[in-house]
This record gives sequence, C-alpha cells and structure tokens, in this order.
Amino acid sequence: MNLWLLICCTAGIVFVSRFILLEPWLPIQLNESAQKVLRYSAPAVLSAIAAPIIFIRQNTLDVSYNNPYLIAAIVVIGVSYTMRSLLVAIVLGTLVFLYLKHQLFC
Amino acid sequence: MMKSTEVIQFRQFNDKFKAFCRGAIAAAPILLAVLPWSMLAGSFAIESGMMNAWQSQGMSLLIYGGAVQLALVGMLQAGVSIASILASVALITSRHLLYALTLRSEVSSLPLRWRMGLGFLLTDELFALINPTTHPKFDRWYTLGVGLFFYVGWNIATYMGIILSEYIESPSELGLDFTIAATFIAMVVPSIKDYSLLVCALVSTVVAVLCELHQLSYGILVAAPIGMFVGVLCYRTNQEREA
Repeated sequence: MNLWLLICCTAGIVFVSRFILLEPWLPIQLNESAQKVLRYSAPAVLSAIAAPIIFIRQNTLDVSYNNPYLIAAIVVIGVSYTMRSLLVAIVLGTLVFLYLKHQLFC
Repeated sequence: MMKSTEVIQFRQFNDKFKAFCRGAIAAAPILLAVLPWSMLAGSFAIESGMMNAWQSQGMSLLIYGGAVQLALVGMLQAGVSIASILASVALITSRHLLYALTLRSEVSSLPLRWRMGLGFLLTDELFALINPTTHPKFDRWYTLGVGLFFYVGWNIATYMGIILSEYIESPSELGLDFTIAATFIAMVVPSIKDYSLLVCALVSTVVAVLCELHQLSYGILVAAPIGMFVGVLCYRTNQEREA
C-alpha cells in the first residue's frame, strides 16, 4: 500500500473519531444524567494517561522516594492545589524532577 | 467618525480576537511540555527509515496526533499488516469519541466549518484545557486559539525534529515524558471539585497502573470508563444519603 494513502487513511480514522460525535444529525440525545456522567471524563482520561508514566519504572510498580517521577508528581499536585497555576505547577514540578533525576540518582 | 454599526462590528471582532489570544496564551505552557514529543514524532519517522521528510511532516499536518503517529511508524517498522495497523489506529484514537461526546452539547449547534475545524483540532491537550469540568463556559474563539496554537506549534516542532533527527534522543530516555504527566496532573487537580471526582481520578489511576503492569496496551480504554463509572456511583450514593 502506498505510504501516502496509508497516512491519509489514518488521518481519516483519527478525524472521524474526533468529529463524528459533534454532528447534530446523529440521533444522540444527551439528557441531564448523561451530561453528569461526562463531567467525569476529563479527570478519568487524564489520570489514566499520566498514571503509568508516574508509577511504572522498567515494567514494575515503583512507589518509593527513589522514583523521581513520583516525588515530582507530588510536588505538582501540591503546587497546583495551593497556587492554582498551571504554569507554576508544571515549571516547578519539572525543575524538581530534573534535579532529582540528573543530580541525585545518576 | 465611524457609524454605530461599524463600531459594533469592530467591537465584536475585537472581543473574538481577544478570546482567541487568551486561548493561545493559555496553550503556551502546555505546548512547551508537548514539544519534545512532536520533535520525536518528526525524527522517529526519519530515523526508522520508513518515511521521507515530506511524509513525516505530512503525518503531523494531516493526522495531528502524537500517539497515533508514533504507533504508525513503529508498526510499519515491525512489518505489521495494513489491516492491523488501521485497527490499532482506531483503538488508539477511540478516546477522542469520549472528548467529542463531552463537548457535543456545546459544539453540535455551531456551523459545519466550526464543527469540522474544532473536531480536527480536538487533541488530548485541547480537551484538557477546555473541558467543561474546569471551563463551564464554552467560547469557540478561545477554543480555536488554543487549538490553532497547538497545531502550528506541533508542526513547527515536527519540522525541527526532522531537521535535527540525527541528534534527537527519545524524550523518555531524557525523562521528558514527565512533562506530559505533569501537565495532565496540573490540569486534573483544579477539576477535582468534590469527593466523587477525586474517587474517579484515583480509581482511574489505579486501574491504568494495573493494566500497564499486566502489559495491556490500551489500558486507558479500560481505566477511564471504570473511573467514570465509580465516580458516578459515588455521587449517586452520596446524594441518596443526603436525601
């Protein structure tokens, strides 16, 4: 199969997955309880993406202070809870992470 | 002197432009966290020997999804059949169905060009920034600002990745995968407004880790629905107790 054709097919699948449920002609009515359920989609999906990165090192669970990902993630949670700033939380967390990873554990 | 209609039109344009810019500014710190991945997506396609520079850039321009782009190149390299490649792509991208469904009540009433445009730009990061849990008020221009800023940034970084492909190490080896996790965590925390949302995030976290430990490739497709389900259950029982 031509590579460009494959890229276009892939792009088509991705676009359809993003677009199709936005279409008003689809017979989907979201009542109030469905809306309530969807309120949980963002925290659920985002946590599921972040969790393996934080907790798993070399295919095993690593819950210890030797895991710089975990320590820095706790910093991010603490900072974003107290300061409510996305930028400060990401920057501070990343600095703590880089310090732990490259200075203490190498 | 301007006529009053002109003034109103100018004002409307000004408001739209301001919302657009606010979106772009809100997207900037997150774009920084995403850049290494976009560069990797660009360079990996070249280094694998599977694609030329045009095709690598073409992926970022047309597909515009990091996980899918990396998986596509990886599967081509592994010699996976076209049917399996497309099936895997469908599986990886299926989480966007949930994003679209969540935004449906806001976006489905917009004209087609808006639905197609915002649909095309609907990535994890865009959804994380504008989801109704943290942003109850949907603004199409703000959303467009976030989305276009990510799209342009993603493609410039892919281009840089292509140029620098000889020198680029995998971001996970450098530990830059942390920035992605940090971004999502920093966006989840303010959205935890009650007990049931906390339970939802924690359950989703635990299930995602369990799936990964058992080498289940698409653990997010298991973890997110279970997290949502338990969160809703929690909310219901809490309400019944109060009633």
